[in-house]
Amino acid sequence: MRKLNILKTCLDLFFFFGVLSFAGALVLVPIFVFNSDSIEMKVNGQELLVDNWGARTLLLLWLVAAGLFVKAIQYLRRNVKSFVKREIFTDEVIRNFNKVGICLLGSTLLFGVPSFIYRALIHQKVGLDLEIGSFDSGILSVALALFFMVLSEVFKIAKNLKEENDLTL
Amino acid sequence: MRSIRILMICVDLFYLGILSVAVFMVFGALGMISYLATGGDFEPSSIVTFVLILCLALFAYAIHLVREAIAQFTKGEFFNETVVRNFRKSGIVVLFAVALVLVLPFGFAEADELARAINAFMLFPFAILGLFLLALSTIFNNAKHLKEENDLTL
Repeated sequence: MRKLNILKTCLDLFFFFGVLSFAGALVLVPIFVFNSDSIEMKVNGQELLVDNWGARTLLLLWLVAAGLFVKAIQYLRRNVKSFVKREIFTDEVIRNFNKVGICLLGSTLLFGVPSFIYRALIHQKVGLDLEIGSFDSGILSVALALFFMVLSEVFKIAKNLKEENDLTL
Repeated sequence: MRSIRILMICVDLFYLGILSVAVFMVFGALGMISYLATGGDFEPSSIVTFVLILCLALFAYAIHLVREAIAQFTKGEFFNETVVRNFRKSGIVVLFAVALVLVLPFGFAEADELARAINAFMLFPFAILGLFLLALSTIFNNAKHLKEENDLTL
């Protein structure tokens, strides 16, 4: 139980800082988008010169991706809260795990695919940074998203087992 | 359960990637050892590099354990001892790697800047991942007992 409480505290902190950074981005991104001056910035290790509408759209999509990531953390936090209350194999937990997976997958795709298209169209540079083996690689994010979706399925099976068990008793 | 197969492919790809990086870094570490053995100057940053290589190797091992657990899922075995054990082990291994990077700045003041940079970017999500894997192990253990009870009743 102590592990769960530490995990909950860590997730609370992560969520808090995530919301704070997202709120900051929510204020700053419209300023950059509607500013006529060109601004050079670095987001998640990717450099971006905001001087055309393509770059501005990309910035907005990255903002949505960040929002989805924070939402995924929120759903995960809800699940850990349920675990602390010893509500483990419930419909809410199953639904939340699936939502975490969908949000993480959406966030990864919204960050990766538009960047790829933007570089191909604007800079005429086609390249895919799979970064296999790196800690912030797209593959790891996709794998994590799928892992949560699979967990949702596995928890559904466990829920059925629990219901059968309760019926027998 | 098509998502399990796609997940397996993704984990396999990532595992291969991290293994190749780990092998490359182990060669680097061997080079550094031979440099020190032949009378090269010792620098505190060498220790930081060794710890980082160790962390990477530990992370590769954690991925290997999770991969084995997912392989059990593909066989339709969800609640067995292997899955519970592998999730627990991988959680402990990830937390150990996080703890290694965390204590680094206390031992070496020169390594402070580098270690702090690593802390900020990696440690928090990885600590969450380690704890989550440990929690999952407990939950899967519960489900395993449920399954055993169910099988006994039948």
